[in-house]
Amino acid sequence: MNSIIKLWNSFVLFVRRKKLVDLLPYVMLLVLVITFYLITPIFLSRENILVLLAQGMVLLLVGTASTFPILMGSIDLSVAANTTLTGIVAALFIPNIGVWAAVPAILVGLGFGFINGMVSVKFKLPSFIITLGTMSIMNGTGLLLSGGSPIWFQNDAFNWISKGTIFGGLQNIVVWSVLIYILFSFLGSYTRFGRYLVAIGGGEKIAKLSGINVEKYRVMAFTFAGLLCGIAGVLQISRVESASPHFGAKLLMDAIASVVIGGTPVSGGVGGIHRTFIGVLVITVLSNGLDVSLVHPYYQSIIKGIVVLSAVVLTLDRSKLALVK
Amino acid sequence: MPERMEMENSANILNAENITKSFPGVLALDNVSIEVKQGEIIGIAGENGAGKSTLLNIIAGIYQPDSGQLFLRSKLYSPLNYQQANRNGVFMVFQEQGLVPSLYVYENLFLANEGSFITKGILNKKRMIKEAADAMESLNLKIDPTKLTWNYSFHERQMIEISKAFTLAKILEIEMPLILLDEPTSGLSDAEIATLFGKVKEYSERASFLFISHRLSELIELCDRLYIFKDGKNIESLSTEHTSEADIHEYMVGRKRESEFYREDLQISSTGKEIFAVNGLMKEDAFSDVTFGLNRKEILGIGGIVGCGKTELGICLAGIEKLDRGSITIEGYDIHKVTLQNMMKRGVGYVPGDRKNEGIIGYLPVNWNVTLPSIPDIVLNGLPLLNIKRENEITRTFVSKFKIKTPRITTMCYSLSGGNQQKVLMAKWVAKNLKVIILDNPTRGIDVGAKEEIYKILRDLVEQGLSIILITDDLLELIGLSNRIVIMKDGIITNEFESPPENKTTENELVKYMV
Amino acid sequence: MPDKLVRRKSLGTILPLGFIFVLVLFFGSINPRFLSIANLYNLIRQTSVLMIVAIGATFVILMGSIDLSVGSIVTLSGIVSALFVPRIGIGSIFIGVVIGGLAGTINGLVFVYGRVPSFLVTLAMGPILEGIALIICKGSPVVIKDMNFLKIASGRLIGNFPNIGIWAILIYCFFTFIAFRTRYGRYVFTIGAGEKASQFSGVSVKRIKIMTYFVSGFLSGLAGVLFSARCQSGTARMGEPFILDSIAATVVGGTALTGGSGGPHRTILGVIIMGILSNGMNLLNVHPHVQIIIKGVVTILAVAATLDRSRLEFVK
Repeated sequence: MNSIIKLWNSFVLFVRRKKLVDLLPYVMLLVLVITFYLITPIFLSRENILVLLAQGMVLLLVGTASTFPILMGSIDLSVAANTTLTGIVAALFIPNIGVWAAVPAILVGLGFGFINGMVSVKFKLPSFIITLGTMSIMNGTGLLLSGGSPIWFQNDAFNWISKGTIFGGLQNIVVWSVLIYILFSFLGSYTRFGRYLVAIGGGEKIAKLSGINVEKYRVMAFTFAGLLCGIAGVLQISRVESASPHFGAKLLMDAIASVVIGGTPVSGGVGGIHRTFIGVLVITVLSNGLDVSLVHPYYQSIIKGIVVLSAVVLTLDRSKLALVK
Repeated sequence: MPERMEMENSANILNAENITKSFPGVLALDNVSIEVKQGEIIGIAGENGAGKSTLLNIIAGIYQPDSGQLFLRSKLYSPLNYQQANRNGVFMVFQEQGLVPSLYVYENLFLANEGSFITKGILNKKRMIKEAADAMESLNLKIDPTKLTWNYSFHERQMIEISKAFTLAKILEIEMPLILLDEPTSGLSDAEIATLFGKVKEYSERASFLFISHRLSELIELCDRLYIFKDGKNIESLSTEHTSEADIHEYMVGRKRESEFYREDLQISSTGKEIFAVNGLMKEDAFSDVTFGLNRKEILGIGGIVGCGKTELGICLAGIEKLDRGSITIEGYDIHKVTLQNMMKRGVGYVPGDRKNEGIIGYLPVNWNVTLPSIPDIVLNGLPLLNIKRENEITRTFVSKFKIKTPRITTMCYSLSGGNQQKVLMAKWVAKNLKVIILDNPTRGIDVGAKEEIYKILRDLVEQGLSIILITDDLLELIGLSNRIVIMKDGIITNEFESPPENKTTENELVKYMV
Repeated sequence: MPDKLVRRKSLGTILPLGFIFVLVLFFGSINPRFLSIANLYNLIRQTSVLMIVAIGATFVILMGSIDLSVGSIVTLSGIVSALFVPRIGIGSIFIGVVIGGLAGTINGLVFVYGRVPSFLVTLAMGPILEGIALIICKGSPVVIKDMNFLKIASGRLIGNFPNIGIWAILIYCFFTFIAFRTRYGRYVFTIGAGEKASQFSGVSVKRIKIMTYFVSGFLSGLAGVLFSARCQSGTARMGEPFILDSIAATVVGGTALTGGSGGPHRTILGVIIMGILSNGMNLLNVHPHVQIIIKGVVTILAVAATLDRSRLEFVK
């Protein structure tokens, strides 16, 4: 048993040392694309690629949302619930104010994100328990507002948000998502905000000593996360023309997986928002591929769970965690 | 004590006057005054706990003094935090490294000071990189600002921290910054130390340096002037031109050792029967070729300056970390697998130097702490259950034997004083009926009264048959308690000699072997 | 310092008890049916399964970790044992417990040897176990018709006292004993209160950690069997509410998230409070979805009140 552990340990160290970690997502992507293509050529057909893209956009936004707290060394377990709730809120407002329903919905998302941040800073509680609580609160609210079943709506203007085509052929959802992603990616790399998140995650003591207002950035990170989830919620229901309280069931794991596979370890302090893109791509390809290969959804969650755990084990920065709790 | 300087003396960059600072139970600085002139390299020497770091932290704004004043360039200077110190041109190179390892070098350089590179909220990375590169060039450093900081060695990161001081000074438009270095040479190889010194000398035209070290030859080599701290006081100021190491030693140590304090009257000669022996112990980057024996009822003291390897040796002897080579024998029996649990089974216990994190569990009651290592031994009627009655008996025995001041045996340990916590820590291991106990700095941070009690306890234990390996930075303690003393330097044993009560050596003698 | 300690300790007992008293008065005055014996038995039936899961959660939290997979273990165990009932009747208890213990052990192994933070391991294991459960039951509930089996939960061995309550009380007593009278229990406390110091005192930290996840899984497994007996079927996601509820009950009862203080004996207070809240809200016809919201709020408040911030240098 000991020798097996030793072997595994040296393999993990090898991967980490050789910075193969950075290549990991690309390797995974390649392996997956090839595997699925071999299973069924439909996988790389034009229709499927378009579907794949559309499917991945919501995850792109939610994954990006998750990246902010993770960079800082925290976690937001409520991202999926947030996305689901904002969708429901929007759906409820559509009959009254049509396409403008997006506004209150996004505000709700942003609001909950802000609450996460404020509770974290004012009560000084670990983020996982706060977001566990707000996840429950948002899930409950979503169930309450929707009565437990999907809300269908008919509103062309609202549907246009995702399904319209500004650039012929490409659905709007892709356009919005990519634009927003690029914006936030830019924010992450070219503003103090992005840099300070990494600094806080990688060396909070030094960050504080240098005069960085950790509390302010913590609130900002969670608020942006909420904002992006809000937008994701709107885009999602616009795409499927309905809001379901059960939508976000798998989204949380997918989001965290995207961040980690993309190269931002769950302990934070490394990586950045720009990395989440490749992680999202990997997870989306995995999901879509499994669908197209007619793998039962039940098996999908198992496979994904194992993929996430493996990715985390390989990428976790051990030296920073003296005690794993 | 240096004369009080005139306020108008503009050649002084820093004046510290009558600085006093205490922490719970410890007076760290007692009325200390120093001065630093523009462009000088000033050194502060002194043993562990002499107050050197505390003074630096106060100058850097990380602590605030209880009383006394600081003057920077003849103006009153009272920084409330490190940024304020920065804005006044005071920078520190931290022992634990003040850089975020996962950021790029240029990002670290300008962390929290990106103001001048921002237009409309966007960072001008190109300019930052260029500034960083320029800074590196002007400092003659071959460091690539676009690489991630963790790519660089400890030594190189120190240089990055120094360059950070200069770049920030430039941004803040400070002409001659004051750079504080807290034990910069611990953890560096000789070659790296030489490089560091070369650089500091090179930069002394552009900055003033205040530098702590316990390595005296370095201080003489590098500094213009030297202060010597002892027990929180600045006891001497020397120019390094005509000073030798011996002179510094004399000031640093030369305390009268009170034989009663260490109960030398109770020092007994060992029975001569060897109970513990180590042969050829080696651990990479820590120590090598360590061989010695320990007799029953003997106190073997191991001394050496910080970083000589004695701490790592203790940890390995305890079985906490693995040895690369060598053997350990207990009562003639060769230990095959040196692990913590095996060593405990064989009768060897280890009392770590970091009482708070590795020794005592503050959030548990006294009785749970005392009995923790002994739990496997105190079974209840042969079942793997806890024997609470016996636990409490044992605890009460030690509370009275060691005179541990605690309201109840169920009081939480965090509410005990440092001295009593240390007694609990010792009771913990004594309760286990061991043959050998390894102690690492057992009286660090403890008041004199408690120290005395602990020394008496140690003497009693030895009399009852225990053998002790005493690893300590406290030279007086080392001399006073030990039957025999072993000195380590740079990972090897340089000297070993007897220390009988009638012929105790002096600190000065010891220090000679340590440096 | 001692004063602060005394105040904290008695606060830790008085607060939950006081809260229970207030809740009972509140709900009792609004709806007298709340105070009936029948309702008391209802309460016991409603909270017994949570009690069992929460005890497991308490051990994990005492150690300073967390278990977010308890819900899925309950589901998996409930479904699989339901499937085995036609074949081996009451023997299915054994199946459920084995499944739970196995799942828990896997959690522990990945946590200890993979060095993955506990919240992440158990967060990822949840969907994996749910997936397995769904595959096994093919998405539809597994109905249990064996009366003997159902009686382990709904029967009444002693007077009118529900059987499931007997299970809960027995588990409570047994595991409280384990926490305070066995070596293992003591080590759980010491690891939560000071892992490094425990390690340096010769405690096999790795072994205890894996053992604790085994215990949590084991108890969730048992809870799953009993729950399916109570619900008369094993369904997908049946264990979901237990994830948050078990943590809430533990923390409200007085075991801090930071670990090392409290214990399973206190969890009963938390379970009762959560139970009374649910039971009372049901009687008041508060919407079940609103109840979920309220529970989320209560959890956050409970953690805020009990967290020992002096022990966390950086709250992330």
